[in-house]
Amino acid sequence: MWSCAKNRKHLNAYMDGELPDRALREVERHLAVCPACLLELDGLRGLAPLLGNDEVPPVPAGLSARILAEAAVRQKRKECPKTSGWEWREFLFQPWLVRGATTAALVVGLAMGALMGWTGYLRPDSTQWIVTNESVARNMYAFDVLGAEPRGSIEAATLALLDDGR
Amino acid sequence: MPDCPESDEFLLQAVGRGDLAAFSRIVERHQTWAWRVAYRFTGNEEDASDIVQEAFLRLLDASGRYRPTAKFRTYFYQIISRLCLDRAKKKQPLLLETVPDTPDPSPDITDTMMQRENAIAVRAALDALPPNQRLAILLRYDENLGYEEIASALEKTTKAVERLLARGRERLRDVLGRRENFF
Repeated sequence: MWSCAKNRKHLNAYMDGELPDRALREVERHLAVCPACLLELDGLRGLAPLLGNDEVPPVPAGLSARILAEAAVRQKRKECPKTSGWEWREFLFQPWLVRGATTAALVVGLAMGALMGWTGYLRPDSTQWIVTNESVARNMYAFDVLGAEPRGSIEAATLALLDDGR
Repeated sequence: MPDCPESDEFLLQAVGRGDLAAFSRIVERHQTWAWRVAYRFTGNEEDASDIVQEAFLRLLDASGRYRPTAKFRTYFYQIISRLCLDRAKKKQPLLLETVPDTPDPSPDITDTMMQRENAIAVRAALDALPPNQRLAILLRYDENLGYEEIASALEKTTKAVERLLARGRERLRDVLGRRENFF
């Protein structure tokens, strides 16, 4: 036979009629010989008349009317969806659209920058930004310093410098 | 049965197709017990009205998706239970210290007044229960639901429901047992 501790774990379900047959028989067998558990069961049963005594006021007047009125409004909203003119603006600010536009702008910007740099480099009248040592020497001193035969004179170099200064 | 045009399941499917007359029938049929559950749970008319109104409107909004795999009543109990428990989360719990003292047992207190005092004490004891225990107790005693139905309403197992009821009853007996004229 079950102990009191085990039996009491099943008393609630027993009182509620929720025990399977085997457990039901065990509880009844125990209750037949255990006054303490029987008293415990009586205590549980004593709650029912108390809990059933609380009066509930009637449903408030107008509650169903309010519910039905709101239902009618929602129904109408479903049938005629309101357009506020803001829908296209909401569409424009879709996250996927914003991300795509940003990426495209970045790619176009880089491409244009690269193109401008390349075309600028290729222009015949543009100043080359890579200057060789030879051309520096030629420009500054009018010397062909790396040439096989030295050309020019000190006087020519001085005059070339003076010309550059003007 | 969903095929029976008078059944709740059939009416709710009609609501899903835009039939407001069917919705009106559902409100008329179920507002009394919905009100009873909400009022017994919250203890005040304003909160109970809000819960009942919101429950029916949620039913309306979900009607388009409703499939009669579950009984209508079980489905609606679920909605109401969720709203009750959400409401309880926002409200301050009632402290046990606010349970009224034992009434004066002097002979000039009429039975009616004693009953009234006891009802207030029971109300306070119920309010002091954790919300899920309170709801399980109310669904069992007021709505006479079985463990499986309570489990569906509260979205728990039957074993969990048994534990909720056991603990709720223990606490009620503990609180109410300190008063005279109980047990």
